[in-house]
Amino acid sequence: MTTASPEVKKAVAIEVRDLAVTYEEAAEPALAGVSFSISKGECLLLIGPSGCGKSTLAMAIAGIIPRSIEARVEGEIRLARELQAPGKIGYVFQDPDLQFCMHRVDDEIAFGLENLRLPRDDMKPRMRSALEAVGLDVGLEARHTVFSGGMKQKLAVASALAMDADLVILDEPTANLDPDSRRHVYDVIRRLKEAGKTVLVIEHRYELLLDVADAVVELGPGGRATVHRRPEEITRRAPRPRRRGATVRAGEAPVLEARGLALAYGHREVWRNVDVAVRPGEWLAIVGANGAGKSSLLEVLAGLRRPTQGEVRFRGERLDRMSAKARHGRIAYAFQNPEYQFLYERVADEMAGRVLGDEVPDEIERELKAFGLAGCAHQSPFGISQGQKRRLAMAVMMRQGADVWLVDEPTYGQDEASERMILDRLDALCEEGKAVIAVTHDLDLVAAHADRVVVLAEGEVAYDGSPDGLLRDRELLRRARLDETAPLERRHSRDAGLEPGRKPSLVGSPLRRWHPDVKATALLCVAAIALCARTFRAEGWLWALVGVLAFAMGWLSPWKLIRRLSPLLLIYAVYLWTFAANAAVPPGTPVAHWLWFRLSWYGVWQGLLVVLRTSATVVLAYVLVATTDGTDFMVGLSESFHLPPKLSYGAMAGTGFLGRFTRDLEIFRMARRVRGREGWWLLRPVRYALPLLAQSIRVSERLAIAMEARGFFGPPAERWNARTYWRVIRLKAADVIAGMVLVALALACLFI
Amino acid sequence: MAKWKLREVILMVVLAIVCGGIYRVWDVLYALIPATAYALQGVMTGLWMIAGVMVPYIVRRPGAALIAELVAAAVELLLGEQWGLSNMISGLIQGVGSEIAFLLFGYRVWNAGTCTLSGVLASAAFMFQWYFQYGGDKLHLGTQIAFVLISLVSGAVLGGLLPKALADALARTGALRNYEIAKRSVKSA
Repeated sequence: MTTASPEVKKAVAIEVRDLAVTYEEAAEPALAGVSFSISKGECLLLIGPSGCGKSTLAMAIAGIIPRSIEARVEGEIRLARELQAPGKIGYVFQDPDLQFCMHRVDDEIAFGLENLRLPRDDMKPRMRSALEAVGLDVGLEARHTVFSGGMKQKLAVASALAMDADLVILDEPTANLDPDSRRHVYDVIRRLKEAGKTVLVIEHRYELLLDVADAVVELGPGGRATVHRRPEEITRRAPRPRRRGATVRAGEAPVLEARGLALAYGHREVWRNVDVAVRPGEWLAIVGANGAGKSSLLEVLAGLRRPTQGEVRFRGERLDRMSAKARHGRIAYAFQNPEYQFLYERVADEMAGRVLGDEVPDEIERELKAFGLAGCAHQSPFGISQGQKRRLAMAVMMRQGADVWLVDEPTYGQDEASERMILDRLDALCEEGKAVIAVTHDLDLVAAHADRVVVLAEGEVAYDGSPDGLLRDRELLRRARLDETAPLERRHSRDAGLEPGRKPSLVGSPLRRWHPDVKATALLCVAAIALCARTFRAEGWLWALVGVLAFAMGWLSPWKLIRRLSPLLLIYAVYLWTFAANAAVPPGTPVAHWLWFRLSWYGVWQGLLVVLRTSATVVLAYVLVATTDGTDFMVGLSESFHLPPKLSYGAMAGTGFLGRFTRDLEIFRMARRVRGREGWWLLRPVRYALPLLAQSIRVSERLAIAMEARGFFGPPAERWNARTYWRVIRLKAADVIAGMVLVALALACLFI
Repeated sequence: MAKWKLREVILMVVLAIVCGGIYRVWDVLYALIPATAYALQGVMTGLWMIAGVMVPYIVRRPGAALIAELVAAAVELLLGEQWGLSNMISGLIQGVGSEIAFLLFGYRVWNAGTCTLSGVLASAAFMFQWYFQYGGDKLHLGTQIAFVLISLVSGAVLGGLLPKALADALARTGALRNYEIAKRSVKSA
């Protein structure tokens, strides 16, 4: 219960008393009997093992539970009066990609302000001061999709500050970030405290925050809390002990060896001159900042991606000359997202590699138990916890008995127990004389497990040697952006790699200035009318109209249009053939018989009619896409046509997924190839659907929660006029008249 | 519309994007499987209806079939399909076809029967466009009849039963706990 209470002392920001939270289907509460309080301007650190209810607690304080996530909340959360107004509690989520719903920095910050119904004129100063407060030096029109993870988290904090948040909650804000981005986030937390904000941080790697924190709440398993008022008394996590002996068989030839590797995507070079070799019994770590190309290197080493230059050899044999089966049988590969590797609907089937009946063989049960998966046999591999998924993927791979193990981020999304189990397993593999290559951000892990470490930085191998040597070389760590403790230069750190965004669509050709939604409707009508053209004369006139639209009104470059649409020529040629070979001809027309086809010139002409009809609408589509800003289009639906904002902004948020989709699909195909189950190419779209869909559902849930956490619920989400708009999209009489004229012209084309 | 939950809206768009991506792959196959036996192309048509069944079957709200099919068509268009705005018209009429099936039963019956009907109606709606725009009227009568029949069956199987099976499989994974599909089946169980 969240209640207003006059007797709460002014200095107290939040008081939690005897809080218990139980999720709908759960037997046990996620949290029980939690009590503590935070004073204004304090920084509270919330720690504890994964799954102990840290996020649950934070989301209950922010009101996300039970508003967006259904659960039973008992006990009391008292918020100081000034925290009860909308927007006063800001929430920054763990995954930087899953909390934004727009594409540009200004739209993104404005989204929260619109929910608060802030007048448009007041928005810009708020945006600027919020960006300044977090030290994010970018243009307002920059597209945040190209930001690094650290910059995205800064933007998320800035969005909260613009809404005038007094309490900022950061839920594992650095979990997905490289060390360099991490220090940017820590810097923001310090800034927030300096600015007098109350801050609640959930953090797994908390050591660096202990000097900022005023108090620490430690949640234990079962959701009970211990409060430490003196952070310096918190036991720092013990560094991982190094338990491995020397397992490297130095005398033996490398089992996997790469020479002179280079990789480029189009014109962008990722890295060059990369030599990597790993011997039996050796654990090799690959580290580097986000975007350094670590995962790409691992993919090349597995033979999943073709390098631009150089070659990879497995026991002296070139990878690209080995059969896929031999290659993936000898070289195991664990993806960051283990889900992509699952093929079956039950854990036991997955483990066995075939569909089992209701009876699970003892041998399978034993193996599941060995990986901490006892009792999961009949569950869906997609429905178990993140740690369990990773262990299942490992267990399945263990059965294939590979010689080289390539692992992408072995500890990603794991709790400590699960992490330990996986690392121990990898250690054991080294003892058996297998080789392990792991990509990671975690230098502690490198120190405790790796025999050798390769650093990728600035497009090259910047270091190849012992972990100790790397950790001593602070200069190298800084250069490779791996040092999370290095101080930031606050003044001159203009964030690199950003060009100002495109100019707003208010200037430009008549088609650009036309109301986007009216334009789309009118063009769609023209396309519908084009369907009815039955003669060459009518189609000629329609094509003339389309030409005027594209070049006179849209100012499009004919050259670009032709280049863009030329791949379709082949498809249309096939089309023409269909009609030449299959058309019904009037009696008396000459027909050539060949196989079961009946070829006729008459058919070719009929085909040409169809081709002209359809390709006119292709050009119309090009015109629409090339002259319309997607955000204007979606926002206009609410602003001019009064669609509930929930629908237009929700759709807007969903489209962010489009960008991820291509990358997801690529990784997914690799994952299938690794398991030798890429599938018959014709059936691929169907076989790929389930894991891709499961992933997309999770994405949409998180996006929805993040949007609601920014005040997108109730009237501002339901009624178009219960929010303000940053983008001004006016519907003028001229827009509608132009649409009607265009449709009338298209109709006229049919009857001239 | 106002009753939709935000997560349902986003889910609809995200699923429609996945479907749009699948459609795009299908477009290429459809075009490049050379037209050796024209009527057999009809086998493929049903797959372009999956969004119109899968999404309403999961969120169970009026309008879901139509909007989802439209959004999927728009995504397909943005990915560069070969039919231009004609494709949006396909999305529109197929969406209406899918929607009618659920409307007829007052949005209360969600089973293999209504899903199949939905796929068939979507396919039937597309037959109009095929006949008038894509030159169906120019073909031999025998080819026409075979194409229509095969397309309707394809609509029933690929466009009706397949997306239902996919949605059920998804529900079994537990990913759909917070959506109507899971809530209804819990109650009926």
